[in-house]
Amino acid sequence: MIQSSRRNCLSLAFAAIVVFALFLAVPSAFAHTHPEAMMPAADSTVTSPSVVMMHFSGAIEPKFSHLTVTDATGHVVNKDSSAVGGDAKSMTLAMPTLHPGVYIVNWVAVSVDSHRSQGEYKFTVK
Amino acid sequence: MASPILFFSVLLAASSDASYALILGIGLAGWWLAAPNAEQPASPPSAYPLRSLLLVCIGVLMLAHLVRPWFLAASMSGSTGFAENLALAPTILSSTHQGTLWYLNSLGLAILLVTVLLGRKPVAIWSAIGALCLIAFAKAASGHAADQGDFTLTELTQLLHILATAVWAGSVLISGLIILPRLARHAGIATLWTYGNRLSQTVTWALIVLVLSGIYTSDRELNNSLPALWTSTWGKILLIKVAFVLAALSLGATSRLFCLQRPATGRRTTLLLRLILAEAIVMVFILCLSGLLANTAPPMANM
Repeated sequence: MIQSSRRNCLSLAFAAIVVFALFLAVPSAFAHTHPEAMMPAADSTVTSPSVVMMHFSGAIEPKFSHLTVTDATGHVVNKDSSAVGGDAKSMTLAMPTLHPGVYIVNWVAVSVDSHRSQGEYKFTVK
Repeated sequence: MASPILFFSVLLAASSDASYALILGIGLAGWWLAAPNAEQPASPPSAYPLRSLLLVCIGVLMLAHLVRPWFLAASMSGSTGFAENLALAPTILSSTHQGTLWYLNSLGLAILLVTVLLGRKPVAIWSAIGALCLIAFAKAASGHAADQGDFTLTELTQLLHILATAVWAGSVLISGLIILPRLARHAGIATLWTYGNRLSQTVTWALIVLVLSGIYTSDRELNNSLPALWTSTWGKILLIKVAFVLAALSLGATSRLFCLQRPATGRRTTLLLRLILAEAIVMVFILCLSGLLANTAPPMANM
């Protein structure tokens, strides 16, 4: 009887370990949402853009995704907040007139699967 | 996300998913034990410790569900602060895709708990099946499969993959490690054979769905590029995993063709139990490789 109970406990523990290992794969086996297009393009030289826009590979969460633009000294130059477009895959940020110089776009994108990715790229205003 | 939070987040997901698979396995085992049988079952379903295990699994699912908003907040904000993430939880529940799915999952869990308390009434059984499908959908829609929108082919495939995986893992483990050894000791061989055939048929269908949905998902993650199978690390691991899956399929087919489809004998019973044990061991390797795949960036990330 005791042996039988011990066997059951071991069996259940083994079952739990196996199923546990199985599902380590299932929830997170995918890549995070990543940028597919930027406007202005990364490392490009442009006239002062009226908006900065980024398009992502998947849908993003408006409450947790945002863009900011800083100048070469690190000061934030955008006056408005960024907004997520109707397709839920793009973000736009209205820009004031920029003086010539190097600017850095800082982006944070939280995909609908809750994964957060972030990065930055630069463009130059001539 | 910081490593300890990532670790506990994975632990949380794994605990709830393991519980989900075992609940499906328990449900199927109970059904097979209670189904009409040519031979009178030596032990009624109540003779197995399934109900206690079922309640434990539901308890784990509910506990994981209750703390999930905090982990979602940590993932979305990138913060490790307990109070900060706790304060963000209401925003997540009220205004994100994950929040909507959390409420859907709550509904599924509530229905599941009520149906388990109701017992074996037909309405309870059908409600439990509906609740389990609802929970599986919430899980499928909470992954990257939902990035292209809800109710897409990708999301449907992910739903089928989750259900098939749970049926396979849950029924083989519950049956192979709890039910079949007991039947071999205490019931007639004919009863064990009848049960084994029901298990084998169900697992065969689950594996077909699992393989087809797995091929679709892998193709998507390989970015429709077959050479990525042998040029990327993710692809190489996938190839090794496929080899182990083929080994598991061979063991399953052997137990079906050389044991269950032939007259029941004591020798074949011993062989059957050993084959199922071997299948479980191969499954461990498959699962370890799956874990490795999960933590390796697929070629899709380099699009």
